[in-house]
Amino acid sequence: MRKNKWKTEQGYFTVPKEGKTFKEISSILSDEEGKSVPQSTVSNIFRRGLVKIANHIANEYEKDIDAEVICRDPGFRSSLMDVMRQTKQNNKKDDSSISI
Amino acid sequence: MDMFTQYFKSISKYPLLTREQEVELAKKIEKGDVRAREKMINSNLRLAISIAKKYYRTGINLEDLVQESNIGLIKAVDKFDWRKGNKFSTYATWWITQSVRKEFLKLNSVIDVPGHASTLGWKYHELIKVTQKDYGRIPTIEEAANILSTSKVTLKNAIDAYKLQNCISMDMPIKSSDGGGDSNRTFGDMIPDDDIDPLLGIVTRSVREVVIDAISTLTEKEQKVIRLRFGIYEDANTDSSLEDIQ
Repeated sequence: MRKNKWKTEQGYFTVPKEGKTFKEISSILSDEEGKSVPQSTVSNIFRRGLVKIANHIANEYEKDIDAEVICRDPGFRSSLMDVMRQTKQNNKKDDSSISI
Repeated sequence: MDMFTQYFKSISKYPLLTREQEVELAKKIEKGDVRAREKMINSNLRLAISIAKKYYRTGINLEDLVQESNIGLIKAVDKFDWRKGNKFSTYATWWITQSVRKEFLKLNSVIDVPGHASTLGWKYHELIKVTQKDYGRIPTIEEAANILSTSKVTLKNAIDAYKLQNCISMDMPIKSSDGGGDSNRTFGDMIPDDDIDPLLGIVTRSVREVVIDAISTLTEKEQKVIRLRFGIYEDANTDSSLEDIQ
């Protein structure tokens, strides 16, 4: 029996090799803030950010969606990453004011 | 006077052979007489040209076709058996036609199709022409396979392969009506691209702007976590391909 039907059906989102794990991000943030930032907090911040983005896009197009489900979608995550990477590359090229 | 006209003139000096002369030469060739072989070839060069001309079309080099038909003629001279009582031209026509047709298909096609497949495909099309003329209908694949003494699958594959020979290259330069080539334009340039919709381009751009807007509503910490998780930071190599990402 399949243990995680949703993941089997939707596929997995794999971060690129440059992407940090929650543990690494947690240690970076802990060093910067001078206090312990647990992995679970990092994971929550990440998820909250994605939910905010999904909600913003849904509001813009007047769509009624479940942002919690959308932000787990591998397609959504990879598209978002694509946009962020391209924007960064464009920023590098023309040094525009938009920075993410 | 170009080289080809000169060639036509030079071969016209060789007289045509009578049936008796052909048999005499064939006997000598059998014994290994090189001069007799040369005479037999030279006397039939006009036959080779006349067959090559039948396959001459725009965009195909006649010299290449004549060259191939000459190769067919040489094969015919080497294999001619005078004992069977046929005239040499009757026998040679098959060899020359086969050789020229092979070259014609090669020059005319972008995709190289095996000789046996293209020959079978050609035979099928000839059969269609004949049956349509004589009986007013096209034979079924089963009937055609029976007539051509082959299997249904082989014939189907040969027909598909034959169709492939009519492909043209998208990069082929377009020829103007006066026959001159316009090197700057190709067939590919003439085909409209229905996939790219200018409106879709605008919508896609606007989606990108919406996403960038959405990212800007995040707190600095949220943005940083997402960037680190996705590997989008100053030290990261963000030029990696999509295969690397997924």
